[in-house]
Amino acid sequence: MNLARILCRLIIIITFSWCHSAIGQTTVKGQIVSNGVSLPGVSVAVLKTNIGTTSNEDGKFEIAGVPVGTFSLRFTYLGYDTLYKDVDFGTERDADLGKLNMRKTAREMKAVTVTGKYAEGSAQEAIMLTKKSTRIETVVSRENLQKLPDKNIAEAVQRVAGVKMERNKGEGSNVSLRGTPGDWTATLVNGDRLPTADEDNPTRTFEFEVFPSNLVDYIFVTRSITPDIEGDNIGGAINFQTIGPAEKKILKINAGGGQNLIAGKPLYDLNFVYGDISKNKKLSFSIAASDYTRPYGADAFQLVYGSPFNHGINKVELKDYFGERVTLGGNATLQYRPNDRLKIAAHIMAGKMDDDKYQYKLNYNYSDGSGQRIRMLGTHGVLQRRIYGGDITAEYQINPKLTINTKIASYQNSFQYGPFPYGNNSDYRNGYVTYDFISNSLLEFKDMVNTNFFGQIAKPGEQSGPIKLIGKDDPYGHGDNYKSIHPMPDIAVTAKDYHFYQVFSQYNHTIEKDPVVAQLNGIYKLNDKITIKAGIKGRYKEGSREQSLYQWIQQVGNPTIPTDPLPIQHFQLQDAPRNSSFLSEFGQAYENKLVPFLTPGQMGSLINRLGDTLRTYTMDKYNQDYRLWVGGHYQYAETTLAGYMMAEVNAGERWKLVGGLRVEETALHETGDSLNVDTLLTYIDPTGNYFSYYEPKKQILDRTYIAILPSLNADYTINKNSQLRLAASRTFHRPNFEETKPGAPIYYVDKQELYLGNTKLNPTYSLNFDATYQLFIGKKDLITFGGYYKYVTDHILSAITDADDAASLIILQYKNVKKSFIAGIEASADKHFDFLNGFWSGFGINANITYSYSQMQVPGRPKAQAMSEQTPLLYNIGVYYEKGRVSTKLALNYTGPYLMSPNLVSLKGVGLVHKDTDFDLYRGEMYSLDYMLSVKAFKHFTVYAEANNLLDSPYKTYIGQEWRPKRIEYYHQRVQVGLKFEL
Amino acid sequence: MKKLHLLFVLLLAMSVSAMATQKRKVLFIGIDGTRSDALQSANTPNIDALIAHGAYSYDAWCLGITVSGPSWSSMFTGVWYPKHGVTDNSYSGSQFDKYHEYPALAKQYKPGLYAAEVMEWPPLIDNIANIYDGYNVRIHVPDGGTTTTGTAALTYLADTNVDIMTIYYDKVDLTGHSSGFSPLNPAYISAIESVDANIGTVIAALHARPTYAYEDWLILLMTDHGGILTGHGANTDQERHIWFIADGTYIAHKQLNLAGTDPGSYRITPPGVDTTILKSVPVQTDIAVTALHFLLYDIPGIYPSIITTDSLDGKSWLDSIYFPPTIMPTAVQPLAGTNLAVKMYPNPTTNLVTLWFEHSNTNISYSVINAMGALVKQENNFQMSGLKLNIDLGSLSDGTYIIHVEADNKTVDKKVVIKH
Repeated sequence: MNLARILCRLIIIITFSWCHSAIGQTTVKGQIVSNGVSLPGVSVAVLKTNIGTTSNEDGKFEIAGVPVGTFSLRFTYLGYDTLYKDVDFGTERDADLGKLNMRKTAREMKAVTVTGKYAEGSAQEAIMLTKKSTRIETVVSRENLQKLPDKNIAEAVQRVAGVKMERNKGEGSNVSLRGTPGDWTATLVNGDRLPTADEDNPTRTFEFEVFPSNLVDYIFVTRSITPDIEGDNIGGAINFQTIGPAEKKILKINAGGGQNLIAGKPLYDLNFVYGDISKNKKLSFSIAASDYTRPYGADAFQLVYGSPFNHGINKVELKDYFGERVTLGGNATLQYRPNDRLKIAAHIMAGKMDDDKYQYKLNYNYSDGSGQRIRMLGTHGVLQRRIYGGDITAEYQINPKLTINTKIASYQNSFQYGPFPYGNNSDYRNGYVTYDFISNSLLEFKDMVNTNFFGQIAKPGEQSGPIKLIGKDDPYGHGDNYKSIHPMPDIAVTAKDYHFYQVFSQYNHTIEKDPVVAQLNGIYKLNDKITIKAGIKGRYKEGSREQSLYQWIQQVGNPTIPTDPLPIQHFQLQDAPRNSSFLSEFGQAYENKLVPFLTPGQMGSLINRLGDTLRTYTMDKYNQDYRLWVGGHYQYAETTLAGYMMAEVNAGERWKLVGGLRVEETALHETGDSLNVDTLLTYIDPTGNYFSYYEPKKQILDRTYIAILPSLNADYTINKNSQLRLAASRTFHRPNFEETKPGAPIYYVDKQELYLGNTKLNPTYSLNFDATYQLFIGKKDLITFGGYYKYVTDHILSAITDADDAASLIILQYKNVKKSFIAGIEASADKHFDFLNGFWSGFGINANITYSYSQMQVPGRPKAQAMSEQTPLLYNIGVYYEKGRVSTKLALNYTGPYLMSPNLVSLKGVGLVHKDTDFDLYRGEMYSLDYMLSVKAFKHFTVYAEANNLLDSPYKTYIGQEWRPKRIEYYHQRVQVGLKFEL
Repeated sequence: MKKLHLLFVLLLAMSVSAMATQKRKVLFIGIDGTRSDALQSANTPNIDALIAHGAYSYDAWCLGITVSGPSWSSMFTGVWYPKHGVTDNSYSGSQFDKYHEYPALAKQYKPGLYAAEVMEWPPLIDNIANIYDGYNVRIHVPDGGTTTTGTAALTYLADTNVDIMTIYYDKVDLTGHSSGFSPLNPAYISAIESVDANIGTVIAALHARPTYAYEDWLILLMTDHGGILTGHGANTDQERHIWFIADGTYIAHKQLNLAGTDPGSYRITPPGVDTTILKSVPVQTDIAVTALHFLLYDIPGIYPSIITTDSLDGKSWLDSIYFPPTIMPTAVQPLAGTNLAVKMYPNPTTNLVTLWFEHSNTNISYSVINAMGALVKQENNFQMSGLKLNIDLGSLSDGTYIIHVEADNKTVDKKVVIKH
């Protein structure tokens, strides 16, 4: 379509509109629609008079008694461009303006300007959006977000039905829907899946610590998808809409401060949003920035189990975490609308989080290569996360029937351990640095029992030996409760009886970029009943991950340097911050056990101070452990190309159908290293030592696969307040880049496990069936019931493999489980108690629950079991009070226990060692109770207070049984008070 | 005829002189963290071949700290940890300036000796100064690499100059730490078997040396400690109970410490180490002393004087196992008597029982008789590929049985208890 034709059509339309409006009357009526959907609650005002009304449930309005003359009508509705219409009321008596189309603002949702009571408008809007959605979707608004006592958006979105959240040191890190595995849910920002780069989680799921909730306007939680959404989401999709361009002048400032009770240190939170619009309404912008600085601390407890044949404990670890996280975020949007039909916008965002993290750890080593010992360790590192990106969007209405929009975006995400202990960021010796001191004496713990190799009482003549068993694992029936393990070394070890053992620095540099994400969509309104949408989207992604190790040990092999042990008291020491009340949740068993350890300053200077008395090891190809690390770096490039075509059909009064097909092609190019064992080479270092080594050799994976993803959504309007939504779709999940990595396995030194990629791994596919009943009560209340079923093929999990010769360490390989399924039910209710009187009418409740049953068949196990990473039970209950100046909420979240990963040790000649689930790793249940209070103090000011994690429910993982924990971490309560300013 | 006779005498004289001038060399193979019972249950044809020909004991003991650093240091220096000062794997406090490793000690007497080591575990090279270990070539190889270790060792085993060669394998210990030190852990057994396979290639390479006929190699094998669960370091039998093998052209076939006695440990006080028992038990410090005795044999009185001059703790086994042609009355010492020496384990058993005995691999027979004297199982006139005979008694009910074994015209009756 050329420009002349467009102009021609424009002229015709304008002329037609002018002619149409040149007829006057005293009663005016019409219907307000947006893309064919009627808009209720639109405010209609006759300017320069006090006459006005709002549209009814069907979007219809009627204004009578308008004086004769020419007037302007103004139609305003949140999230939509204000519509003006000039009507001459002098020439005609009654007239029907017909359907008046209001259009959503550029970013669909724009900055919410709240004019009435605190936080009501957009909450109502959110309910309306939920109702109008063509998908099974829940919308959370910025105002809803601010009512939640959550500091990051992962925590905020957890309040929505069926959202499971993973935490990192007590803060929400990633979320998934319906309790499904974390990487099954697409987390999108402004409709695009962001690149991911995390410390130790290689999934494609974005980790939200870096992204402050203050930069988000709306969260769209989609459980059933339509073809215009990216298909890589079996669990659903969560789209975070960042703050859009302003609709009027806006300034909001929020300053908060408080205290983290466990860290015993202050925290603060500063953020602002500023936006404005030009007088001709053509140019608008907004900028927002956020700075959230908070200390944190955790009392952590870890049991390290040894052999896969028994539940013997190798190590009891008491770990005092502390540190400070600083999150800085910025978001800016600029929009230009030269006319009603063209809209161009640009958006940039940046987020950064620095986590200055310390750990003081005491280890009781019951079973170790250095004998039974006690070790005291400290770790420090600066964990740096960075996200940058932006997009340019354009939307153009070619004619009333055809609209096209396009978007080009670019993002980059990175993680690395920052400049410690060497000041600059490029030093490869920097990392997450651990200082390891060991007890001088070799010990024998007297709290062990004698059993056979399998942890059972030995039969006569059968060999037995000491083992540390807890709880019911002790066959003699007096195993310690994990809350009070009393290690009893035969020799008393005092705080002075430790000497320097080693320092090691873990290196991690992970980066992922989506240099180009481009899309083009067209919406064609065939007629009143049928709208056709089609589009294409392409994304180029590239990334790399590099993990390594650097080590310092005492230089004992140099004849000129004394080999005397370096005692701990030669260093400047301090107590672990919470030593005196450590793990008081368990009682007093672990109080005052941590030994005074190197001060943060001393950790920083130790390497320099010891200088020549240390010898160093670089993890290069000459290193004798290089075979463990050669797989630690890999690169990849992935091109995805997607196209879709879909139709929205209003089939009669009650039925609305949305269906179509999406096709996604993925082309993956990935390289990893393995050792070229065909040629053994020799290197002689300057001191004359020989090193036999292998050169690393590139292994390349090139793979292309096409996903065909049909879907159909059907909405059935039962009556004006209730509807039934049915959906069927096929979705998929791309394996992450670690799972498909060619070459040698990746070594996770903390876990002492190697993870071997599987270049033949299939993507997971799921056939999804959903049914949801939604009941709208008034304008603010919503009750839903739903059920879903997912038939999943090729679910991915890691299983210990026996296919290697060098299995001196546990090697896990990613594998597909052929068939599994999940069936679930969910319900939610949001009810204001406005039927009560006076004070009581301010109360309301919202609650939701998700229950699912899942099954997978692990090859080699006689019985099917619950799917890994699928949470069977989740619920939220929130009680709130909103009236007058006061808004307050108490919110409880519950995430039930679930299987994290089955223990699939398989050995030659034995097969699967564990046929039951007693050695599988589980995540324990978790409660989170949070309280928030805000009082509008003056005209522009709101005072608020928040208290988080009131129940101090721990993060917990366990092996098979709840009483056999692996990790337990307590984060304690956090309180904050603050002041918000809003123009 | 007379001429022919003269030629024969000449040839004999030449061969005797070749023996007399055969250069003595030492190959020490260390296998980390290998329990004695696991070595016995693993299928190790190459180690079995060394045992079948050489001197061995399945009942050697670690008298010191059952940790790699201290124990390897004891084998290499011939002294226990109170002297060499290595008490953990950091090696801090080590006293190698006072107590050298055996190649350095040997070079004090014979500076021309050429020594090479191939080590998988970095501290074994890096934590001792070269002037105290005496190796001419120190080769680091990938930890747990096994086959790479063999490949690297082969380069130096082909070098005719090499007099002392030390090869160290870590895989068995690494596997023990990862899944358990136990004969019941298939992964641990499999690790022993893969190291054994590599030892086969090393021994083959040794025999293939072009100068092999002019050399007299003493091959020593030992481990630093056993293990229990996934660790070691304490003083249980499973951690201390180790093994010892010495082989060579003139090493007599002999089982040492046949009684299986345990001299105790310097770590278990009281009672400490029984010095009388110690005399008949191979221990770690014996490695260095036996190697030194062997290498320095032509220095009059070197053993036992070296014990005093260098304050060594170990002893030499040479006098009781090494019989070079000049003093060896017969090439092979046949085992006397009509009683077959059989080691049997485990006992009691649930199903499998292993009998370990020497035989010339002619016809072997066994029968199992129950308490009522009835024959319940037998097998006659078969051949065995190794020294282990596995008999499955799983189908028999609980009780005491007699296993009667016949081989090489010798017999034995062993009592076994089956308990399901």
